[in-house]
Amino acid sequence: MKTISNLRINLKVPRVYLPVLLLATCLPIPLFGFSSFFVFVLTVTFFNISYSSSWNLLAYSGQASFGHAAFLGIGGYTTAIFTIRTSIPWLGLLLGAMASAFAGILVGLTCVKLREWFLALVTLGFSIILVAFTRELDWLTGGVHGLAVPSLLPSVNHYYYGMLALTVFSIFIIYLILKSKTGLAFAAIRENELEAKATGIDVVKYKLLAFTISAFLAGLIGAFYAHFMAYINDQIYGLDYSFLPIIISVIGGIGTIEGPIIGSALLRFISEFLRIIEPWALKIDPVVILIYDKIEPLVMGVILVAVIILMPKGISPWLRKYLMPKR
Amino acid sequence: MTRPLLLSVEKVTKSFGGLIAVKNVDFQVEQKEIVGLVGPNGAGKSTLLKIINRFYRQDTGTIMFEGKDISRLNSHQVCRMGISGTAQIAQAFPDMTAIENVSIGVLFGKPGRTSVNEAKKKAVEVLRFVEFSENKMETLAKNLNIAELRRVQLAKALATDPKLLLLDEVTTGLGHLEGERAIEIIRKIRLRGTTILMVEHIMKVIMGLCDKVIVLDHGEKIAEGTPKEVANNEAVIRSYLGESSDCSK
Repeated sequence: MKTISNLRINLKVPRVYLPVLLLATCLPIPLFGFSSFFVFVLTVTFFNISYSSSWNLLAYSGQASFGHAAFLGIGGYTTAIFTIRTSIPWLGLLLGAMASAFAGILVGLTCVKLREWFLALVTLGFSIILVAFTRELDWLTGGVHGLAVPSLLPSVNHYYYGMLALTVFSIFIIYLILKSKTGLAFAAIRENELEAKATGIDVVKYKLLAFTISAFLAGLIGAFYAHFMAYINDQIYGLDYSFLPIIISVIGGIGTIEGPIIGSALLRFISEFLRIIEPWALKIDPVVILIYDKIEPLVMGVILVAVIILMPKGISPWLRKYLMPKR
Repeated sequence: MTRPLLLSVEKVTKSFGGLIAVKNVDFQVEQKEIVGLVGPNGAGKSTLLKIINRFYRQDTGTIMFEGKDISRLNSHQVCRMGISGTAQIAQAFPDMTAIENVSIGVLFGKPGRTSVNEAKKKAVEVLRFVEFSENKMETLAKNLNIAELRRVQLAKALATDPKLLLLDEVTTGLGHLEGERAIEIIRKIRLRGTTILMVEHIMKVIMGLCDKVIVLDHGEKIAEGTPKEVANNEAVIRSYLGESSDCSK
């Protein structure tokens, strides 16, 4: 008979070491003298990873946000306005994250009783309301013209490391949460909300907690991203930013730690690959230039559909199913 | 023999739309008692259990547990107070292992703090108590069969250290042998001193286990007493078998 000690008791949480190791290998890249464009592209990829991870944490608790850009934007605008008005560097990041977390509580409060589509629509509506506010309050937000955000760091290499640190930080925080008691509560609520309630889990409390943490991280990332881009306008609340983490997580694997990394890397690889082959494509037929900018969304769309059909849970769970022993 | 009162249901009524599922039901459960709730399909047995564990809110009436009014509390609150149970349709967290399922009960179902690792050890103990097979401890709940799932569910409920265990048709969907073993486990639970309120439609199960039986029909309590008394009760026979005049024909 097996004893407790040789029963393999571990949580079904993806190992964090692999993602962190992977990101650690990115450490020396700027030192190799790649073009700053390449470093820029990688920085944006890190942004995608950390931002998607924050969305994914919310998804892990069974809640889908279709307006996560709202939190990104609140973080970005808060730090932009604060830094412009007070000239105090760095503090804006924290304020942005906190403002976003606060918004997360508010949205969460309206959403905890809603499910699936309704929840998704409320979050989407929230981000649309913010666009309207941002445009109207132009004495504060610069209206449609947006704001030039003061830079925090001297070069793109510095931002590269900043974004990398932020990504590792987010992933690590999320990992700690998922392997804790709170993570089990999130999973239980996602799996079966009624049963979770009957087993003593305060569903409202944990759903709100998930919203708050997710919004905090998204706000922090959004704030740093605003400084990195040196500019912010109402597009940050747009559908592009709201759907980015959804597409990335669906491709990589919803509710997994490594999912956003796989998803972001794949999307980035495809988009860079298309950019690289553009000259050849044009050589074959110059008319291609007329449609070339439509090819990327087309390819992304095809990949998204293919992943959903072939690996409905995403690439990461699909890989794990084939690489790891069955339970 | 008067034992201290654990649960007291007073004049509880619940209707769904125009359908009255439970009508003005009163009953009491004393400590360390096994009470059976029987009645034909649609009599309101499961509804009554779901009102007690706060899945449903009653329209009128109060429910007292250990002298406290729980009529306004939520499921998770009454679970932490000591009311926990299994549902008629075996439910679980499908993408979690048996151990994880039960450890949720240990972690959240009772007051006090436990670490995740301790909870898992406790979960293994409880799973062993309900005679869950050793080599399926790490199996995901969605890959378990119904008998195994019922045990996980029972273990999950027991893991919260309930004072009152609500069992809703534990033998449903089980084969004869599995059913017998389930009854053995209920006997074992009783030896631990846990009070049980169970819904069951197999009279044999009720007869062998319960101290007291409450019979519901069309949402109303029609009889209450020892299994023997109830089995000989006119009204009960009528509700189960139809009018006696029909039988004589």
